[in-house]
Amino acid sequence: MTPNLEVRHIYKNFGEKNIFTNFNLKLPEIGFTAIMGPSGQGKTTLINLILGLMKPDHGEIIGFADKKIAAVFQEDRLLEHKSGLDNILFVLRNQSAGKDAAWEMLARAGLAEDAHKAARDYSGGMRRRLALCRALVTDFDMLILDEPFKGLDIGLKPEIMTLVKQKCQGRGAILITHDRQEAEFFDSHIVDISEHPLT
Amino acid sequence: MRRFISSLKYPFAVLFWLAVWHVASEIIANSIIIVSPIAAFARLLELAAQGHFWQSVGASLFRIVLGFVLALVLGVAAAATSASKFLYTLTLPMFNILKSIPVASFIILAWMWMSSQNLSTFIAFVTVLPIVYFNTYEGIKTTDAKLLEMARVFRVGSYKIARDIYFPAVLPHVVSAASSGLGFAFKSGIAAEIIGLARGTIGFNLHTARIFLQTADVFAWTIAIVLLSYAMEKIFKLLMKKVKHDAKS
Repeated sequence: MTPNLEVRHIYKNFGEKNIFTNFNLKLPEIGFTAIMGPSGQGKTTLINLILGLMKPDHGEIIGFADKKIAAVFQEDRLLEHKSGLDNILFVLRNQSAGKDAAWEMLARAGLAEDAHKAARDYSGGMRRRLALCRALVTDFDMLILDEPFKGLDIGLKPEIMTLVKQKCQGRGAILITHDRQEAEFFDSHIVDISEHPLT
Repeated sequence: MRRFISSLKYPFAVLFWLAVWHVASEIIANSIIIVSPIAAFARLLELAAQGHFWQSVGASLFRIVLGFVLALVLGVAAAATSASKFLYTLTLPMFNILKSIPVASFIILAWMWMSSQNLSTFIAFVTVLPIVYFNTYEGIKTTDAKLLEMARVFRVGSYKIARDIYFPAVLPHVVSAASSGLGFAFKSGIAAEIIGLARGTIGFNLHTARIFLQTADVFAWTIAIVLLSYAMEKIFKLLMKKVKHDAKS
């Protein structure tokens, strides 16, 4: 473990509600870190702080700014009027070069046949797979996964998890999950957020 | 069959009000106060056979539509700058004032600043501008913040964000603003032509007809304005349908 990424002395309140008081966390640049803990403990808030979508009241987030980050959010966050393929191409800088990779990813996730369908016509499980494809196709250094396998079709879950594991080889990933088996599948360094402050 | 009967409801309502108009004209029986719909439409057909009718229609149409299009483009552009809090705060009072000034005051003021020929363009412009601005701003404000966050995380370029996130969110607001704005553009533009006495326009013809108590002409020109406004709205809706279709493909 090479902990160059750090969440240091974080304080965060939402109005009266306290989420973090002097929260600290060190993360490896390569490999999985699974963040676990009961709901309402600030797991998604932590992800938003790391992604720069939220600012801490005090404290620092170190080492993430220069990283190429991809994310699978708790919600699918798809462009509803666009096709599955276009949703993937949306996040790629070089669309023509990325088209093959997008098709390959869609095929591996079992979505190739529905690639030209609008995202709003996808089922819940298909939407989740599409959100995963969109993240996995990018050239990321760090993948953020906020309950990424929730709502996936049971039969497809092992295959999709294997795909994620392969794509994260030699890269970093933060996985938010309630399922310890998921965390163990990725040989994750497990962090229980309810035990903070952690150092 | 039921659909056929349902499709006849609106034309039937139109016929009903034409009948009311006709009965009113028969009861009043004074062609200076009111003419019958038959006389008004007959006069419209007579006018339409004359070259100057189409010249006037063309001149008014061009100037008013020009004002409308300018308002549409600049209204959307101004709303786009509202992402900057500074620019939004700076421009908001101007748009609020534009929204509340009565059209007649604007026409009289603008008449002092410019030639009567340009008046209808300017008036259509200032009438439609705040409508487009506020509606577009509302569209921008209601754009899905979670999609914008997603684009930010994946470092998607501004052009793609504008095209694939903002555009679909804002388009319905722009279309609804433009549809109502088009009607306002015609009403205010023609009023500007009447007050400003812009020669060779629909407004000027209306004014002349009033001076000479040619009531049939007043009605005929008014029908022409209603038909023009209706036709422009239909054309605009067709255009927007195409834009929406192109945006999807």
